[in-house]
Amino acid sequence: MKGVRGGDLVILLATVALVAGLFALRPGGAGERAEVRVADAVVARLDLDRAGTHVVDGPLGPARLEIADGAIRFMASPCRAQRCVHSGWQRHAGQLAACVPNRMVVRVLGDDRRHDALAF
Amino acid sequence: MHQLTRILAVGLFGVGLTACGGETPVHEEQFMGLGTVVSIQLAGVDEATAEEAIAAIREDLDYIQDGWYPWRSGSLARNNMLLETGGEFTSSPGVLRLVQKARPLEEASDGLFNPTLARLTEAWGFHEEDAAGPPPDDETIAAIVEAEPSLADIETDGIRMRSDNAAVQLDFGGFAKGVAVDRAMEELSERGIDNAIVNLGGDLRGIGDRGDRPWRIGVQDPRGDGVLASLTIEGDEAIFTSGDYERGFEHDGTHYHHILDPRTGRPARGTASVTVIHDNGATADAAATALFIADTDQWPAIARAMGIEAVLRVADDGSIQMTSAMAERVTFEEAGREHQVVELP
Repeated sequence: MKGVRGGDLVILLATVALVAGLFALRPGGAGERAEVRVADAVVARLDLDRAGTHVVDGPLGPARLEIADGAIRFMASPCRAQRCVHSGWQRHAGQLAACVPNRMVVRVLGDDRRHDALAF
Repeated sequence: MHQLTRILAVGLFGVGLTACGGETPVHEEQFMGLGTVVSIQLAGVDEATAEEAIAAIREDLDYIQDGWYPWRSGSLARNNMLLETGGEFTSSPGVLRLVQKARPLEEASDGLFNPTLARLTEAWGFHEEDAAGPPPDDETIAAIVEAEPSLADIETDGIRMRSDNAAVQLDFGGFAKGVAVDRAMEELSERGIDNAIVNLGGDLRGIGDRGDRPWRIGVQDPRGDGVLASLTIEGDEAIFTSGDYERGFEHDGTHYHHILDPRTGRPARGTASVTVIHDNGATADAAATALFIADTDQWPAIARAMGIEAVLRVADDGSIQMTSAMAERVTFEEAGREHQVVELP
């Protein structure tokens, strides 16, 4: 590369490293993490890449959340109607499942939202 | 500066803007309100203004929940007790305004939007967040349906109110979210906030844009896991949906949802979901309920009478109908998704 000096090379390498770092730290790929709130307070942030189950306590009792294939769902809940369980898997940034009687909300985080809001 | 260094410096600056948020800041907050999850997004607003506006909306939603829920000891509960006596009484200004606002919508919907069915709602257990059945017996349902409660039975004179029909018990469950979202938008407007979404558990009103792009809305597939169709907010509009997958319970293998047909006293059958767009939340809310209940050949006339042009209706067999005004707005997730475009009369 004509005209490139040693100092330039250092700057080039530093720049590449910085750019790579910025992209790596860029907030949100869709559906990377989920936030669990109980009575409006954040009680857990869960990595959707790590399959498994988590027990979260709410005013009615413990709910069991399941993570698999980059998605999260209410697996079991102490509420009577089980609407939260029936709402199924939440995968995309901005999607949420809620158990109103147990005051628990699970929301998928991420800035790469395809939709700002869901109408349902 | 050496040329390469300059190029790299300029390139790095550009990436920094993208990565570090060259986009309009969006303040987002979620909380429980009106028995659902409330989500508010405000674009291009400083934190202090955003937090103040959201606190005011939250306070108003709490007020609505306490006052307009007929099974709590608020103004609507008191109003219902007095209606039952048959005598004349002084209504609260808030309840009176709701009745006046709902009256033309009930008439235009041919009675399919009927906010006087609190007894029926209670008989089915849908006044509780956790309705679990079983369904009420036939006699209980028949007694309410045969009494034909309606807003037309309520006489008002100034702030005085009375009804001859003891079955008339107000329940604004199919209306309160619409009124609430309109009030929230007024609150934002008064503070000069004109780029926002207020989403009350899937029923929303949006205004303006997200700064760098329009607000994008996904309409949930009533028979699938994800999004059926997408659209963007244009100007200031409310998008309301009634679906059979919302509140309800299973009993003896049958799903009973909470949208009750005033003609039968039972969950309306034939529709999976109806989504409407209108510039007013209260009208959109009432219309989504009425059009959900309406029969397949009846809904276009009801939509026209209620002033709704954009309607997306998914029947319980999964078939899709929509008006041409809605067809111009939505993009299906699944390219080429079969649907019928219906012209309003």
